[in-house]
Amino acid sequence: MSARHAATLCVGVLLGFGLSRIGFSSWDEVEAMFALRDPRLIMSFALGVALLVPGWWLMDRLPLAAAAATHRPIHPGTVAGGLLFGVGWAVAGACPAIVLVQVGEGQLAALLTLVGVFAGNAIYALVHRRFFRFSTGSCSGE
Amino acid sequence: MEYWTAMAGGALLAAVPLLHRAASGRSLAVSGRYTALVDRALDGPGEPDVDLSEDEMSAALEAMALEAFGADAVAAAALDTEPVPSDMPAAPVGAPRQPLAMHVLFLLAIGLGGLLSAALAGDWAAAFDLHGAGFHARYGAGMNPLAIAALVVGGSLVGFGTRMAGGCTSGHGLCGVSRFERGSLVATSVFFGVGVLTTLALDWMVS
Repeated sequence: MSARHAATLCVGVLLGFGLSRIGFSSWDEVEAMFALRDPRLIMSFALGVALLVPGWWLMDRLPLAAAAATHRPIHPGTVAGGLLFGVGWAVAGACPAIVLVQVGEGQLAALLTLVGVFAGNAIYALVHRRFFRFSTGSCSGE
Repeated sequence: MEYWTAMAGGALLAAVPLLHRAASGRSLAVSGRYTALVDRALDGPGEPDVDLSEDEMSAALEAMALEAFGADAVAAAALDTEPVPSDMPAAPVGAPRQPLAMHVLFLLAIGLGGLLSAALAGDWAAAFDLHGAGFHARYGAGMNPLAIAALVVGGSLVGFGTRMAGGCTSGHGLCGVSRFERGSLVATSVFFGVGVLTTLALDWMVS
């Protein structure tokens, strides 16, 4: 295992561990966030974004990492895709990272969600090739 | 499990994208890694990377054009060609594609993080279920057909929607919003807003 593999492993473990400890992998906590009963999760997210603003500023000026600023313009899938993702997250209680945390925690019903995420991604790929021609931005095919 | 405060949670959610970039030179994008795996499954490994110089490449293209269209057509087309303006920008040099193993490793690592969190808290237990009373209050006791359908359909919408929007909570929500990318600001407002509306509507229907 190379240093890059080890670093990737550590960052992934940290993300999964943190999402679990914040409570993002709990269906009930996510429901409490979306029902506007408990601000803790959304405040964690908002604070993360707020800290990243000076974080990127600093990192752009450090020599340790090549620039990774991906440009993310609005495209025809932005609103429709966000809408479908919002419904799915509220129904299943998981986003693409959270579902993996749930499985790791032993919440094995999340395997159903995981199958759904892969299937939905593949279905979109096929629908996009058949019907749409716009670019969905940097995430696809990274 | 005792949950972290928003302060600790925010620090973690800021640290991970920064460390991810330091480790890989890439912007954190979890749904993009799903996309890479799905595309590999749909398309196979694809063409191996060719490593040709510019001259070798144009010689090869010329030979292919001659073979396909004949010498006369190629000569006629050459007369129509406009010269390439010298101030044309060079092709953008992005980070090279990551090998498949790196995507698999990262996704497995996220799951491993969840496992470690539960195990260190002393409450790791595997069951074909989701923790929490709220999940069953909405969809009924046990893993009944409605609960199963909610996870499969909800998960499919997550996979479909994140690929369509070109990002999820990590790529759009954390990284894009903190860089004030317009697409990310729109997508994130939409998926959080719709998440709230969907939840309020479903809670109202169940109650």
